[in-house]
Amino acid sequence: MKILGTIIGAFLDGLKEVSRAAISASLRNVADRVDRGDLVSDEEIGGLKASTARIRDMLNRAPE
Amino acid sequence: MKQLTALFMAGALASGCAATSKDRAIRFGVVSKEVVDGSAKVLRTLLEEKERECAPFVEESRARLVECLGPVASNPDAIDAAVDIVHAKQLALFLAVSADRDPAVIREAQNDLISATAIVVNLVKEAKGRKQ
Repeated sequence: MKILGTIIGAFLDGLKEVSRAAISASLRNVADRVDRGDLVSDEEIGGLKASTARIRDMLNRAPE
Repeated sequence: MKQLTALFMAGALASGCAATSKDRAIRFGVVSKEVVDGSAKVLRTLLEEKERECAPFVEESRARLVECLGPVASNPDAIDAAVDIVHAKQLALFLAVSADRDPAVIREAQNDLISATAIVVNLVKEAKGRKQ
């Protein structure tokens, strides 16, 4: 029984190591794979600025 | 079951320990991008609605047009400034992360981005508040 407990304990320790390694690897992947598109809102901000430009144009055309 | 729980906790602990300032900054950056993208969509929709609604006042007078547009839509410079700042901070975080800069620099870029994101969120709050 004690031997079985030792074997299970060793197996669980092994799993912990695998799990730590997998988690560390996935975090490294996040850091390595990040690109501009993940962090910078180029497209949405570009679209919004087109709208603000049209509003600015309306304001400039309106007579005082 | 207890062993599984212990294993799960060990995994969670390992993940917390393994998270570097770079990983955390990337997570903040990704969330900020989602928030900024969503805010930009809301503001764009508002501006497009106002553009249609207030078009007749363009020929009438600037005062009537401003009144129709409301305080947020009638101030395109404030919107542009807020999104320019957040865009610059997003780029700064991206550069800090990509260049694997010092953790303190990455943290500062992350904090700057959070503040800039909050400004954009406040604009949306104001726009929504005024719309109701």
